[in-house]
Amino acid sequence: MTIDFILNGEDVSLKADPLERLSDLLRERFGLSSLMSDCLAGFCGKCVVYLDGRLVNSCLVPAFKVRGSEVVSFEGFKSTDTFDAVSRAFNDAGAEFCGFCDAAVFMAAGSLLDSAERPGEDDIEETMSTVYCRCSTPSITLGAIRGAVEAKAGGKYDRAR
Amino acid sequence: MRVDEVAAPQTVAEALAILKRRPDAVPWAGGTLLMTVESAAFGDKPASLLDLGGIAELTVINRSDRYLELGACVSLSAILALPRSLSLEPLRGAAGLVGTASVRNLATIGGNVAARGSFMTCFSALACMDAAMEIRDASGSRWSSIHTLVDEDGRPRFPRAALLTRIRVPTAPWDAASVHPLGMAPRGEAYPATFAAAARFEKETISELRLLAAGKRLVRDRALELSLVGKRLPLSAKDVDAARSAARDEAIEAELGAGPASLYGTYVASFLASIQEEGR
Repeated sequence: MTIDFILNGEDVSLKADPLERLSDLLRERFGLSSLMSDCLAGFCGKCVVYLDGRLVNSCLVPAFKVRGSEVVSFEGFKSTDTFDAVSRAFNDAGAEFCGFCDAAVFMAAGSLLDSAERPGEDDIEETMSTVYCRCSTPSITLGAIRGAVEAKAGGKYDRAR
Repeated sequence: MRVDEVAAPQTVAEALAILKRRPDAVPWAGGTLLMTVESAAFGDKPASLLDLGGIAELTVINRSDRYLELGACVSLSAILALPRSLSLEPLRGAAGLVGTASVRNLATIGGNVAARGSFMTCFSALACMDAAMEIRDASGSRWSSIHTLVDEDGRPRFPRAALLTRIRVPTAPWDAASVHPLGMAPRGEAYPATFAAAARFEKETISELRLLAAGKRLVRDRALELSLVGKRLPLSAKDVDAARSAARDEAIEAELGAGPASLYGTYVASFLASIQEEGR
């Protein structure tokens, strides 16, 4: 089956089995090494991408569901203002992640900053629990995101500095 | 699963036409179950997939004074984003038990309800709330109680070559509601079973009560419910203990498994104990 979609802002097309996992497509066909397909069951959250603006586990998305959609992986997310805001917030808070889950944690945090409504405490905890991360300190991570969310609500990300 | 065709209808009518031609076609909404727990069930036989993602009418949410109508492809995250002022317990609690936030962005209420191998997390909550389902097939559409999706043995029964299109959830508030997983879900959302309960009170008396567990089979002991309706609060310790034993025995008889059955009894007792204060 031919799969046409937009990946990190570029039109792409490829032949794939309809049920091939998006995580496999992105890693193996496009060389996007930020995605970790760890559990293949939507449990670990290490393979999250934005699919038409929604944070989803790419291991649960078959190739045929991507047709006509827009996919943003961490590689594309890195060039956005939201990434800069998340990065600043984590740096300022001293939040550190290992190379295995950092991309997913950044993208989960980015989805909160990009949400149409200001996320509440429950939203922040729920969304960040998407990524099963054992290498960071949750209180520092959540504190950094709270700060970034407040900064955005105030109209300027710089308050997170 | 080996796929020999992927159809992408834009309307329910197109989807039904495809189902008429291929009654074995697998409806695909969010696909979170099909990509995990249900994938093995299809084996190597060729399957035709019916991608429901392009049917706009299946993603509509309508509200009236008495009901909330959810299109079958409404995501669980969309349900959780509904205003808190809307009385949706225990459904809201059940939706929150499914996977993580990013899984719930994919998972749909229809997929959760129409799972064929086992009752999934939201089924017990919707059964508790007396939800109704709109099922459409080549012969037309019909609304029926969610309980018609349960066979005589208490197992899932979803009609062939038919689509679940809408779910109507009564929004009359319950005075108490509770939902809990009965066991762990180490991989994704497939708990062994889910407990849901709801109650209404009138003048410190239980006027309506639902106690359910749903896993491989649906467990609902109407005799137990009826024995407690009309009782004045607070219930006696003897009543609570008797309910615990009756619920556990019913779940064991329904082959829910020893662990989930024991948990079911515990949650029934815990729910009944907790309503003592709320009813007054």
